[in-house]
Amino acid sequence: MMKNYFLALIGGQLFALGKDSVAGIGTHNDSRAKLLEDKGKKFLPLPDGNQAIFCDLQQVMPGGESRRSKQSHYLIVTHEGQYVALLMTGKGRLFMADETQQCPLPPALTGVARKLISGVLVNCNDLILLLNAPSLLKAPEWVASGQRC
Amino acid sequence: MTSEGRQAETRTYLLPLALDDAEGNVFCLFSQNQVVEILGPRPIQRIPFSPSYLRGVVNYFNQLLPVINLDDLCNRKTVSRNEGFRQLMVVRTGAVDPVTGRPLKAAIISRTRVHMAKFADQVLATSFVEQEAPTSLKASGVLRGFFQRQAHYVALLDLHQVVLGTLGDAASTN
Repeated sequence: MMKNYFLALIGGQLFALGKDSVAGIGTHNDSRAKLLEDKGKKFLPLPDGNQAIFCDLQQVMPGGESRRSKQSHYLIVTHEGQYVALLMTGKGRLFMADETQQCPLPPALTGVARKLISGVLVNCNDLILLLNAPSLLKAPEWVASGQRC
Repeated sequence: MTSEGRQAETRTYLLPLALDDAEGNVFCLFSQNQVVEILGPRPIQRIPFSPSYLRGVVNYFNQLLPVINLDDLCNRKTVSRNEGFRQLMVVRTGAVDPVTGRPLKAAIISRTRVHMAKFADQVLATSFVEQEAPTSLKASGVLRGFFQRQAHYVALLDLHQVVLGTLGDAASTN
């Protein structure tokens, strides 16, 4: 069954999530989109008055500092009235894929990695990681606590 | 030489290991039966929140294989080296996917070219002397054996727990 996804480049890797979970795109370091900090957590104020919790997934990618890529935009993800602002490179794009063709992660990957990535779409040599929107809301906490699988 | 006089040989693959606490050259030994293929460099899809020794996944004939960095696995208390790699060695681990029942393979990162060596069975049986393994290897949770032959050391690793995701952090504290 074909489904619309949003494709985002984060830390040089391709990620996708259901189009319905995307609330919008913002520009990183824009004067109108300054991050606020409260009790150690960073928030991005949204135009409608809501706040999105800031999350940089690149921080928790194996490979560390040397493989960091410049991230220019925010991907605002929503689930049940909550928002997360993910840093990404470029504006991302929409695409369609057969959701039944996704592969599971190998059993070697467990814990929060498995909770966050619900499957992998294979497109020739490209692997696209499917993000789980409900788990994404917990990702900022996992990043802050340095969780690993 | 007649066939009766020819000694049976076993082909092995030796992958250099960089251990913080070992003197001399240490290699991880894989038998010919374990090694499926040696691949050149290719993109690895990194997975957020994965441990440093799991560099990501690669697509291998429509099967996603975990990419394991043995240097990071065996030096888990030190910061990841994060160097590039020259080859990926696809190996059979002997473990089976508990969900699908498929045999689990893994791709092992090699910073240098993997060495191939043939040993007569008698050499394998007699000239490898068991030694006390370096602490980092013992703490890795995957060590099966550690041997010396002349100036070189050879480690045998069991990757069952790694590919099944059951290794956990307990091994590093052992």
